[in-house]
Order: sequence, then C-alpha cells, then structure tokens
Amino acid sequence: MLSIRNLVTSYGNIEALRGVSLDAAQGEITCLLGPNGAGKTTTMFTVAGIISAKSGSVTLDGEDMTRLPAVKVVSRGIALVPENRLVFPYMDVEENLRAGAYARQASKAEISDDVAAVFRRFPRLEERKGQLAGTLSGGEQQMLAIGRGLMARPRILLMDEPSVGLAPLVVEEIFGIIRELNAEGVTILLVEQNARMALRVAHKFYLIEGGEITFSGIPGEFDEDEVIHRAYLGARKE
Amino acid sequence: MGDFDFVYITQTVGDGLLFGSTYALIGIGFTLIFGAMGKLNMTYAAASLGGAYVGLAAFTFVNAPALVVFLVSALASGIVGFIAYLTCFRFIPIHNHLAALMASIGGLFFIDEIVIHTTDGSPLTFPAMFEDVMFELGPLGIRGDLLFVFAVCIAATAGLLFVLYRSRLGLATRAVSQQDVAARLCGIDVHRTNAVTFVLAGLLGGIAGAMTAAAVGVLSPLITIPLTVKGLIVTVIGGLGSIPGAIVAGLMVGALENVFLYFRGVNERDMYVLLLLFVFLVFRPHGIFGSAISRD
Repeated sequence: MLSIRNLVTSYGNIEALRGVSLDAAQGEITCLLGPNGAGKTTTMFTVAGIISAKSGSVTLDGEDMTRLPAVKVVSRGIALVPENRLVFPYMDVEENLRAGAYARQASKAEISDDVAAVFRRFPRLEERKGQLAGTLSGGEQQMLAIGRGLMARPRILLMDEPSVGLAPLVVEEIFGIIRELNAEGVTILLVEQNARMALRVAHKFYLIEGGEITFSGIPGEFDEDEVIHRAYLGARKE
Repeated sequence: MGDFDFVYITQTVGDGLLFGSTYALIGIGFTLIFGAMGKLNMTYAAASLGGAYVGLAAFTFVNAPALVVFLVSALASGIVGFIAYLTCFRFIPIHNHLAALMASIGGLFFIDEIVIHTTDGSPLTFPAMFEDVMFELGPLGIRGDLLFVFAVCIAATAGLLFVLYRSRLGLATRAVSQQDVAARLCGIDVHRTNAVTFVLAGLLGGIAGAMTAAAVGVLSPLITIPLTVKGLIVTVIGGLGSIPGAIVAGLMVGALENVFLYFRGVNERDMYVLLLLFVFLVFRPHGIFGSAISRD
C-alpha cells in the first residue's frame, strides 16, 4: 500500500535519512522503531510532505506522492498524527476535528456525521466538545489528534509517538485505541520509542538507526527482548 | 490643563472611548498578523492611512459620497496589505524575524514617502459623517461624527470576528496562527492563509485609517508615526496576538489619552501614554489578555 524507496532527506548538509525503504501493507500496523534522532520523525514528516525529500520515492497504492506539499498529501489519503499531538490549543474540541477535514471536498452534513463518529469512538471528547483543546489532558489531546487525523478519511494513518509524555495507564489506553482502529480496517504506520508496547500491536516492524533501516521482521518470529536489545531500545529485562 | 470637573472628565473619557475604537481596530490589525506569523508588520498603520488617502482621492476627483470613500479606503488598504505581505514577508525566510521587521519598517517609510510626494506633505480635509449632529445626555454631549466612527469600528470588528469564528477561512487563519505544522497536516495552505490574513487586516486598517481621518477631519503624513506607535502600544498592552486585548486596550488608551490631555495638555499627553506602556511592560508584560495556554 504505502511504499517508501531509498528516501533521502537532509537538513542543510546533514543527511537525516540516508536511503530509507519500507512498506506498509493494507490493513496492517507497521511499526518503525528506533532511538532518538534516528530519523523516525523525519521519515514521517517527509512522507507527510512537511519536509521535501532530496531523492527516493513515496507511493501510495502506486500513486507517486514524493515531494508533494502537505496540503496535497493529506487530500490524497495520508494523514499524520504528529508527535506531541499539536492540537490547536485555542480552538475547542469540535473545531479541532473540523479542521482535520479541511482538505476534503465534503458536504457539511458529511463532516458533521464524521464528527459524530469520532465522538462515538471517543465519548470523552464529546463530553468536552466545547472545551479549548489546550486545556485537555495529554491522553485526551492524543485522542483528539487521532480523531483529527481520522477526519481526513485517510487511506493510511501515520502516527508519530502517540505514547510520548503519557502516563502508563493512558499509554495502555492509546494502544488499545490503535488496536481497535486497526481491527476496523485502518492501515497504520506507527513510529514509537516504546518498543515493547509497539511490538505487541505491530504486524511488521522496521528498525531505523542513523537514518537507515537496519533490521526488519515480524514480531512473533523474534524474541521481543532480542529485538529491543538489538536496536538499543528501552531497558533490557533484568 | 483643567481642574477636576466631574462632568467634563466624564465627557473627556466618553469622547476618548469613542475615538479609541480606531486604536482598537489598528491594534487588532497588528495583533492579527502577529498571531498568524509571530511577526510585526510595521507597514500596517502607514498602509491604513495610505488606504484612506486613496479613499480621499475618490472624494476629491469623483466627489464620491462618504460611505464610498470609506469603502474605497478599506479596499485600497487591503491591497496594500497584500503587497506588504509579498514584499516584506512571503519570501523572507520564516525564522528570520529581524529581516521581516526591517523590511516592513522600510515599507512603512516607503508608503509614507509616496504619500508625502503626492500630497506635498500638506494636510488634506477628509469628509466626516454626522458632523453637525450632537446628542444631549443631560450635561454631556455625544458628537455625532465620533459616534459614527465608533459604530463603524464596532461593525468592522464584529465582521472580522464573524469571519474568524464562523467561516472556513477563519478556521484556517486561526489554525495557522495556533499551530502551523498541524495546520499544514490538515491540508491548510499556510502561505495563502497568511496572505488572506494580511488582506483582512488591511481591510480593517483602511476602515481604521478612514475613521481616524474622519474623526480628526484631516489626513496628514504627520499622523503615520503616532498611529503606528499607538497601534503598537495597544497591541502590547492588550497582549500580543489577543483580539479582545486589542479592543480593551484600544478603548483604554483612547480614554486615558484624553484624560492626560485634559490634565496635562497636548504636549505631555503622549509622554503619559508611553509611561502607561512602560508600566505594563514592567508589571504585566504579557498584556491584559496574556496567553493562558502555553503554545507548543
């Protein structure tokens, strides 16, 4: 479905991605793991069109998306739920969701239906629909950011570190949501530092280090600790 | 320099509040652009008065009625706002705040020079409306022209708030000003939205410029710098990026300025206004409506 080939991205003279290739299959959760500064967020930003790739390609169902600006990427079916959530702090919850549908050519009724669908999925957001997003808790903001991403009706949902900065119980909740979304057929490309949690939901994983994919596989085929250890991620089991 | 006369002071404060609505409008324009880009558009007050000059040309050459003059002022200032965006902001690297600031200061003097050269720098009479009307309120009087200025400024502000909070365009404007990366991820074109913000602010500025001129009765290049300074003072006192702040601060500065004028005379008036700014910078640097929610 989403296919990334030899993607190179640089900030000035510094190459952040040095030829990343990966595939995310329809209906699956594909997980990109790696330490800080490995190029995970850069990969997400490049795919989403926030940063322009230097070379390589990104295709979605065969359609070339490389170097399209973010505005076009989202309207063609790739939505990114960014790291740190980046909700619109001075907009209320409902407006945040409506902003997520900005790129769609949809009727008001259609968008209202989708807002209602997000509220059914996240009843806590409905309770707070008139509240400013900046006043929500971290977990609620993450739900809102996910809901905003879904409002674009993407073919694939990119999620960048959805667990970052959240309490362990809330992390469990967020991963529960990811699993549910996937069970309903949403294709997900997930970036995580919390490798242990990520490996539990992933169908396939890639390890990225120093801007390159160094390892990939299917979670069940490897010992979880070995994977985590190999990528120097998280803590080793005592 | 008057004695303490309650009726007279009330009158003074009332007139100041009415005239302060023009400051509020200018403050809103500064704050709108600061909110969108995190940058000060120093051309703003000059563009606003420039628009008023174009409106005045419509009056002088085709004898257009006052309402048309105000509309032409707004449109012209909106166009100047768009040009200011293209020349001073659009192509300057986003993180180079100083370059944008200097470019817009250049724009300010450029617009001012155009005005000075086309008018020989002499003040021109600007048409007012309801000049001869005076409403009696017990011992107080409300000047018809000031009331008109106030009403127009309120209407312009209401129109802006409607666009900002009830339209798709406004949603985009607010999204870009609050979280530009997320706005892009939602499919909002940041450059186009910024351009629209400049035009919106410009329209508002043209109205403010025309209303300032209508209230004073003349247009002169001498107004440019004081109006720029007042606009910035209002923006800072209100809290950078806060529209309610700009409204409250605009009215407040308008009222207090008249009180200072009453007690200390025209020579010292602006000194006290600047002192007021100083007091805010020291004791309440985020302004009246400083942001409560921290931004990412």
